[in-house]
Amino acid sequence: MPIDTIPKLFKATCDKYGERKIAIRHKKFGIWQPYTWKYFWEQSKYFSLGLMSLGYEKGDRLTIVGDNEPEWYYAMFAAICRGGIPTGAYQDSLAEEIKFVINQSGSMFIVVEDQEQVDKMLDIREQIPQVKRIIFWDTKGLRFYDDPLLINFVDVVEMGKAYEKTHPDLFEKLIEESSPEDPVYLTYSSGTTGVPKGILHCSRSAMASSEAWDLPDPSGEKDDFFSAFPLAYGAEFIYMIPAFLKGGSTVNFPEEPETIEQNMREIGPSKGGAVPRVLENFVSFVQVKISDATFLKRLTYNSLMPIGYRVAKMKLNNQKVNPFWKAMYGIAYFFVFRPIRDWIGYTGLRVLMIGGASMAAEVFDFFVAMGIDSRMIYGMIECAPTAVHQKGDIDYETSGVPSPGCDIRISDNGEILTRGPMRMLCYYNNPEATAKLIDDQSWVHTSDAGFLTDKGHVVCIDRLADLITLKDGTGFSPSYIENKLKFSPFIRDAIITGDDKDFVGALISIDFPNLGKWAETHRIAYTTFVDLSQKKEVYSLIKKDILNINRKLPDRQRIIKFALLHKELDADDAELTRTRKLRRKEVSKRYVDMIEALYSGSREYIAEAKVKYRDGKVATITTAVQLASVEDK
Amino acid sequence: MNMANATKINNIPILKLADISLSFGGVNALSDVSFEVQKGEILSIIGPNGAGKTCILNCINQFYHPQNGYVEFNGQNISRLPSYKIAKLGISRTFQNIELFNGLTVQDNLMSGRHFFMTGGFWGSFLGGMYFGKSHHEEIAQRKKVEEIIDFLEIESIRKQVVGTIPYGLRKRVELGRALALEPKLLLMDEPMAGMNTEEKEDMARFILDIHEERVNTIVLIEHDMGVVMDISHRVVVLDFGRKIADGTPDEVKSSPEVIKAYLGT
Repeated sequence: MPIDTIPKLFKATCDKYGERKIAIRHKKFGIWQPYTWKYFWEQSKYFSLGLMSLGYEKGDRLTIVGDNEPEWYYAMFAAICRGGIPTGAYQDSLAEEIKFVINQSGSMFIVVEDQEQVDKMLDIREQIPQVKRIIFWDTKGLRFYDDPLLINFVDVVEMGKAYEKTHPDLFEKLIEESSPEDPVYLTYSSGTTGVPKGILHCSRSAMASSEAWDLPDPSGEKDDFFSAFPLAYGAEFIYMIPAFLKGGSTVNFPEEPETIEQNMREIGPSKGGAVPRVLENFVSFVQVKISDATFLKRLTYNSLMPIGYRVAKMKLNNQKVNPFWKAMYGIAYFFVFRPIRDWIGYTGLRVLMIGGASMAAEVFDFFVAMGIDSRMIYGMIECAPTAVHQKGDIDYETSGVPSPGCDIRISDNGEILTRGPMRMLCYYNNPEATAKLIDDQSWVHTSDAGFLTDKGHVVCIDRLADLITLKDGTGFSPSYIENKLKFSPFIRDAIITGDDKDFVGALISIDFPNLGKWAETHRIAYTTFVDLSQKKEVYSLIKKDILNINRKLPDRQRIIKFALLHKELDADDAELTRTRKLRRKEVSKRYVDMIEALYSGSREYIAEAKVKYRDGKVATITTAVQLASVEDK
Repeated sequence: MNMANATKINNIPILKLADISLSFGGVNALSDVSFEVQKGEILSIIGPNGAGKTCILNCINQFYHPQNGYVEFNGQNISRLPSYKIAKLGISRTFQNIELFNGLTVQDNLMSGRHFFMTGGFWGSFLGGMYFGKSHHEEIAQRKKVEEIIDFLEIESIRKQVVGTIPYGLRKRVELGRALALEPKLLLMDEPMAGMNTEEKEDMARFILDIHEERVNTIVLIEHDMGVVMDISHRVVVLDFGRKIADGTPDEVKSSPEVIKAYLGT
């Protein structure tokens, strides 16, 4: 029997390792608790049978809401092996947002983590009438809830054990019946452009995605994965999970969301992916810590870092590193790179896959200098990865060559089109959107503007719709400049403007912790975010950063005017997605007046911002935002 | 809405205060205060500043020995017993101004709450410290209990931090954890929400309800935030100038003219 589906792969791996090997580690009570493949198998199997005894059928959807914990995996595999479709909602979403996922997917069963989520579900129960059962796995505070909808995770497992007695071998038979085109996972797009769409993946597409992702460095028995991405976000499923099953690796779950960094340091995962955002934060973090460090430490860092950059350059250019530089690098590694890698939990990391957005070259360089084999990966969750950096063919300005089995074509209007086995099935219950994405020759229209280099590498410039054209016809990518800005430790977010205008402008959101520290050391008194952001000294500091960046930009793309925003951009205000991508449309709508003011020549703009708190309350704050010009003198 | 769950409150008094009077020199801190705490209830003590609320708690665990009256716990007269024996009987407490060991880590502070469960003695503990013998096993068993409390109170991320370096709201939680480490039958809490913001208060209220559900059946707490008091307690005792002026369900107390007078003046 060929192993061509995720359920079959799951069974094969569990059979192979049984009690011999650890499949899952979860930190609990301060200790990494190991669970074998056999345990993993049994939990998933009996939970699945338990669901069936409650009336869970083939093709039914199951919504899971909770932190990354083993139960998430058990529930997910239980549903997949039954032929059902698991989907996730972000645990910090408002009840409204979760309701959307439940109703769009038509889930009849919901698996949630704890009381917090149970309360959310009970609040909206009238609006999710199709839901038959709500299953929870953390019982704290739920003892006296007597709602008939609720049921404990372990009780469902027990029901599954009883159900097996009357239905022996049912679970195994269902796994054998699974076919590669059966849907296995539903994830919702982040909604950068409107209402989220349900991306439906099948065994075939997820396994192909994972294979391409894993190709640069195949996973094996000794590999440790670390589960830190929200599981509702598709990346972990389509990249990591099939590779984890195939390699018989181990996946590690953090104790709590607050302990992710500590836990990751303890594990030191050997394989991993990251979004540029996180890596950018690491780099700013390191820079700030170094500027705070003692003289000797600063000296060590500043004198040894160039060695790292130099060797990184040689490696990227495929030059042989001669013994002298090797020795120098060894010293630098011992004193600087290893400790830094340890701090961010990257000691054991062999390959770092970076995807999800474009990233500044400086950040990429930094990680290569640390001795981490970094690769860019390109693709939308609907069809990913379209392109990957292969060994010895790394050029951080591109996203590498098309993945095996994947075709890439650039359409006449500059859009990247792609076709390959990793393509999803369809958008769930949304044929119009599917038709828009996939044409009749099964090309996926990515909506990304890009081109192919001479070496066959793919370069994604930006979202097609996001490209900005100045009045004189100069077109450019705002996120390219934004990424450059964000490399400054003092800038957290930036919005580049200039569509149909005379010049390029920028709205910048400061990095409050880093800039706060800077203000303290420079004896600048401030009270709040708003106050700090409007300080004269802060403006001149940021201006210096902009001037630096301007020097590296073509003449017409240089930033002429800028303003520092009086608030942080926030996912709760719909300015960023939950994965912290800029929602350009929302943001340019929200700040339209300020942007107009930027181009009107006035020096100040009175901002009235609505702030939405987590509990849904709305407040208004009024601030005078300074509009400054950057003059290159 | 009252959120205290409807556990069975059987009319068995676990704690009985009878005619407690306490004075410091010429100042009468408490005069003839009597009330009972039933098994399974959350009882709040409220009252204006200086009404004698903390004195009541101090009399219960015999920090102060009242001049008059007696305190009964589970039918046993505990007046005049030293405080450590009271703790051993199953009454633990938290303080208004956090009394933790500032130089120890969170987990060590909680371990100190397990002191009573250690039987090894000096030499046994010494060997235990060297990873030998019975005390070593004991240490592991106690540590496990402490970890359960850490999990319960969601303080995993600060487990190894020194208490002096963690924020105020979390210290309150750690102190509560130490009180829980004693596995008490009765928990006394002195202003668990003082100085907290709304979100921290909500969390703390949630923890109190969870504790009541899963760990300690009977809780006596002093609190100033009326919203919280009315939400989570089964019964409220009101003090004013050292005298009890009301005792009843939150609704009864709210409408009592005496209470309104004490709080609003005449």
